[in-house]
Amino acid sequence: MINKLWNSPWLWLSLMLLATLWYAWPQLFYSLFIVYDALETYFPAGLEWVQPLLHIIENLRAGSLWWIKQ
Amino acid sequence: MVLNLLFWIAHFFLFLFLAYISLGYFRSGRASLDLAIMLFLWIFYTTCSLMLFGLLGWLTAPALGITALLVLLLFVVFEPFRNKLFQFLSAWTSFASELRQWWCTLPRWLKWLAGTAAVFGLVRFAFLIWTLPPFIWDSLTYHLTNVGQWIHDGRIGIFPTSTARIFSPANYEVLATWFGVFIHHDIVIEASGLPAYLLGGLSVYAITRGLDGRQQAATIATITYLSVPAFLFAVTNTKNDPYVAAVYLLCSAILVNSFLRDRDVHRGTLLGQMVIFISAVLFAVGTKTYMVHLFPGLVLVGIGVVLKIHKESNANSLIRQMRSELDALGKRGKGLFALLLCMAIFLGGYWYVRNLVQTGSPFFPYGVRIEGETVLESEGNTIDLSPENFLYNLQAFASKFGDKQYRIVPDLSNTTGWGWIIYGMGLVAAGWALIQKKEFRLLFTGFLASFLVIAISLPRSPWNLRYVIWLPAIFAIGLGLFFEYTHQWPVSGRKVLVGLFWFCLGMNGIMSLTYNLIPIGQIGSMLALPALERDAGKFHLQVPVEYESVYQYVPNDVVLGYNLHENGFVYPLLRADLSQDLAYIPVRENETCPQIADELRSKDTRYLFVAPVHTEDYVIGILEKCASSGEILRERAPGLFVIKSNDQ
Repeated sequence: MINKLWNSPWLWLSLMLLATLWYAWPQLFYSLFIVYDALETYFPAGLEWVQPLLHIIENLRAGSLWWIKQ
Repeated sequence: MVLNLLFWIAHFFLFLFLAYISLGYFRSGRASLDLAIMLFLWIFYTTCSLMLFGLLGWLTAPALGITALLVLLLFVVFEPFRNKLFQFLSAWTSFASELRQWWCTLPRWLKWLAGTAAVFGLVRFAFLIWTLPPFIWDSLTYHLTNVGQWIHDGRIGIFPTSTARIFSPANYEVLATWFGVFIHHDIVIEASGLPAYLLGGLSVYAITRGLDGRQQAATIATITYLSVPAFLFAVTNTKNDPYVAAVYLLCSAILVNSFLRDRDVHRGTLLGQMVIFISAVLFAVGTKTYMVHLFPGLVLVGIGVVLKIHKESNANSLIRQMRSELDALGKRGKGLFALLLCMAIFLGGYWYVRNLVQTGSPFFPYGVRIEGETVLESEGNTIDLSPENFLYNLQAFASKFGDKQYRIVPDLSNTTGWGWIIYGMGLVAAGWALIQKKEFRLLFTGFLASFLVIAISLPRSPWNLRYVIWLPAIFAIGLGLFFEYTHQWPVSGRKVLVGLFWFCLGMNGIMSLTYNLIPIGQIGSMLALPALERDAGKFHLQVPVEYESVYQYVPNDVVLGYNLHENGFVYPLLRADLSQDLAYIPVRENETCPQIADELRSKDTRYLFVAPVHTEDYVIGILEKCASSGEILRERAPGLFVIKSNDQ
């Protein structure tokens, strides 16, 4: 049973996908700094649409960090 | 300029040729490791030659170039060397065919991935190096201050300046002069980390091959490590950490390939490998002292692999082999080994001996404290070796793990900078490799030991994980080996795995475009300037606008006086073409305006530059008082004070 599980691709893929998801929060938004910056430089109107979303994300991030530290 | 470019090419060609002809004595029997060793030899010989010329005061394009051309001419005249020269030229054809063979071993998806990554990497490097001047704090404070001043003076040595950190071991800085001395300009100085980037990549490839990974596994491990933001960003940041990381990985590759492989299959020279190993370690010690802290991990790997062989055959056979290799070595070979070791001792020890003679401490300006007791007094930072520091650093590492606190930027502020592939795939894959692969376990233990030892001495700062940018390589190697194991998987599973790898690589790539830091507007403002006028002081990411006053109002054929504190940016004052004569003007707290003016006159200048954040507030206060009182000095432009013309 353990051997079968160990050799199952889905075990490893699930672990990797979970690890990626874990890393993606909040790194996904950090890594896309260039996109945010490009919006700010070339399309400030678009930023007005994105800004509230970023505020929500930032609050969620700060909240989750606070929760992790607890 | 054309002549200087010819000198540059001749110098490059000469030391590449010397690296090639000496490689015969150091062959490992593994193509990737041989290539890494050849690249290391080029780095090593080039650094040594620049060091000798620099100490003699001949650090100029004509001196270096004419010497290189004369030596090449001698090689053409003398037959044995001439044959070698032709052999060297024809070797490129066989290298190209080996490269083609390697390419053919890769599956189609990996060819696409490797090709895309290579093109993207080349364009990114070229664009960032060409467009942006150096901008990293420590580089502008002391790394490039050394490089710029040495090129300006044509001599390697100590000069009066505001920061005592110019005394730090500086093999990297010596090599970096190669990227500026021939054109007397810093336009490509950020490329000075590229040899370390290549060396790191080749070493990771060779380690994975040494652990019985196939070409595909080694290629994935290499791409993974080369995309780690902490390493990728550091390479063009004109700092020395990538060289220590690359040499550490080279040493690991040598240990793995020399000892772990079946002795009967091994066709390399064990003795030659050990000479390279020792030379590399000493080179790194002369680059940055913390190599000493990484060394125990390498020793552990060395002991581990020897014990493994002892179990399977006989450890004494290693010593016997080395002895027989030494006996079989001709006079020329013995001479080369002796010369290389002497050069290594010179490059590894020169800075410490110089500091001991000049300041009384080999580690000047750093002090050492062991368990609260000061062993060496310091001018600046003190390295604290204590269990408390060790625990603090482990906790700090835990808090940075996962890069949750901040976005990854070149300084690695509160992050590890390992990026998407390592966290998303590398950690899990390394866990698999730890259980499945005995040799990988051994190497992992060595890396872990190096990390634990360096954690005892790491300075307490948000940026201290730049000292361990070699660590993610072990996870990259684990991932390469894991990919090989997935050959037996169903196609659908492999497709998901490959898709995830593409995604993670893409995310690492996106953040690397602007170092995840530089606003596009600032890149645009640099592009608007002519390429040769992109001075570091015009790039205001960290440099205050006051630096522009120097470029506008001070002619570059006069002496510029400056007063900055220990952590101030000296380098931008030299200008991009490294032409400005500088004089450090110390100012004491009770100094009067006439005394400051006298100090300026004694240094043959009437200009004094200061900058907020980079100069002590009291100095700026005194100068502003002098200027407002109309006494002797006036403020010509923000941050730039001059002795009034009628007082000159």
